[in-house]
Amino acid sequence: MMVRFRKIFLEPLNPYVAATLLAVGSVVFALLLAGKLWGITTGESQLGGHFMTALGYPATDLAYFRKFKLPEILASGPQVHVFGLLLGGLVAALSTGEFGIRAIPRGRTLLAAVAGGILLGYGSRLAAGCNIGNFWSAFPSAGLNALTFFGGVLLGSFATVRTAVEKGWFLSPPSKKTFTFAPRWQKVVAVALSAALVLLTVLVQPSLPVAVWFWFGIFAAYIGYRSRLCFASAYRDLFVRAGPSGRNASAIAFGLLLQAAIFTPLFLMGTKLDFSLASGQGQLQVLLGGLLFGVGVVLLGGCIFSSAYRAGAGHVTAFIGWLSTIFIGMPLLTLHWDFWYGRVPRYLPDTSLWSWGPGYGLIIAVLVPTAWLLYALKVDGRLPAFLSGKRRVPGGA
Amino acid sequence: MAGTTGFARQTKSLLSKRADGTYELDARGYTCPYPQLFAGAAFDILEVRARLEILTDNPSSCENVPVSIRNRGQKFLGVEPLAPGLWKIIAEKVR
Repeated sequence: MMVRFRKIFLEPLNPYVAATLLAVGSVVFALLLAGKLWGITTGESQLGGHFMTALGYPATDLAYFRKFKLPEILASGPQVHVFGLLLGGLVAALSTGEFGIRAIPRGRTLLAAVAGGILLGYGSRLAAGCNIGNFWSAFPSAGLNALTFFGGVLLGSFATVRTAVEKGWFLSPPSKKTFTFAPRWQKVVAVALSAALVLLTVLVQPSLPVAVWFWFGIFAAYIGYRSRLCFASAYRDLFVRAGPSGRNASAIAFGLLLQAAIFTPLFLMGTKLDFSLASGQGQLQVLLGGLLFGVGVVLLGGCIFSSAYRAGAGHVTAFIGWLSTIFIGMPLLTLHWDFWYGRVPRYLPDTSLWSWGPGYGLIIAVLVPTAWLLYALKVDGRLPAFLSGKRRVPGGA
Repeated sequence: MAGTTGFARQTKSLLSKRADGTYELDARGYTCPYPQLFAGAAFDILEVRARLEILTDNPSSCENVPVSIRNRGQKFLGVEPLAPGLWKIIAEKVR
């Protein structure tokens, strides 16, 4: 009994278990919110808009906020979701006794965290979505943007790994200090904080959408931290020559396929799901945004999702990246929105390929994630023998 | 490997050899993917049969570094917690 408790609540979660929980959670999230798919950066950019307003800038006059609106923070699901993600990371780290103010960047590492965060913010909103909205949710809904964004991110990640990372351009000796407190007390605080959040929800009685967004943020970040599931690692680590790893890529590809397996029959049966991708991105904007995002994700060492849960867990580099994303990168993009979406042509506006026909839908929802999964398994030497082309040696082990 | 030569210098500065012959790579404070890269560069420096212990306070590295060690064809021996939020990843250079 004790061993099982330790395994479930204290030891790192298997990444495939985490991907399964996140995939099922994403489906439940969509069903509770009338078909709305999970995304993070719309809410983050709105927080950036409130920051601009607080500084005296008339953000509501910008075309960006005429499109995405600037609702009051506590009445807006996507915005409270951002705090849910931070709190989920905090609860997860406290519950395992691992919370600590650590990874304090210095010199060029600090520069990389700020630059990476800015690029994540600018790139994700240029593409109108990050590794969640334009990837985790876009592949199962067979969005054209999933394919374009993935292409841009892989290109940006590859170029940055081969240059800045492998040549150590942004390496400065970091601080080795960690500020923490006794694991036993951390677990007490985790229980007290969780109880306080439940109580707060009961007392405030938010609308169902706001409550779902908030608690799904806590859930997703808890799973993310406990499993170390990281999209940045998934995009980057297949290219790291000194020690490639397909751990995160294979688990996330599995999660994409699992979502497709659940969402597709629901969609075909007529369940209301927001596969319309109404942001109206053109593929040039998505590709360029993905490219910048790919550079940023590697420089920061985290994606929109992982930088949020790590920031909550006390990871200072992630927190600085998270701040730069929301309060510098995204506001910058909102200032340039007119240019990117007014003057630059919108080639191939986004659409779900289900609208082209079932075969097209399956290419994005199933074939591309399958190819990525097989490649990641190949890198890790876990490809089944019948696919790897290796023949069993007679008499061998 | 041409792309990792910069890491050889940095890795040497983080490596120390203990009296029992075990090499210790102090990667505390570094975040992904650097502990992986340091581990990879350390394998280029160490002699065959050398035991390597990588100190990290980056939780993700406890998952990614073992996979990258195996993918380099080296032997991963385990991860041991040293203190809350601090781990030791143990490996052996086998070729």
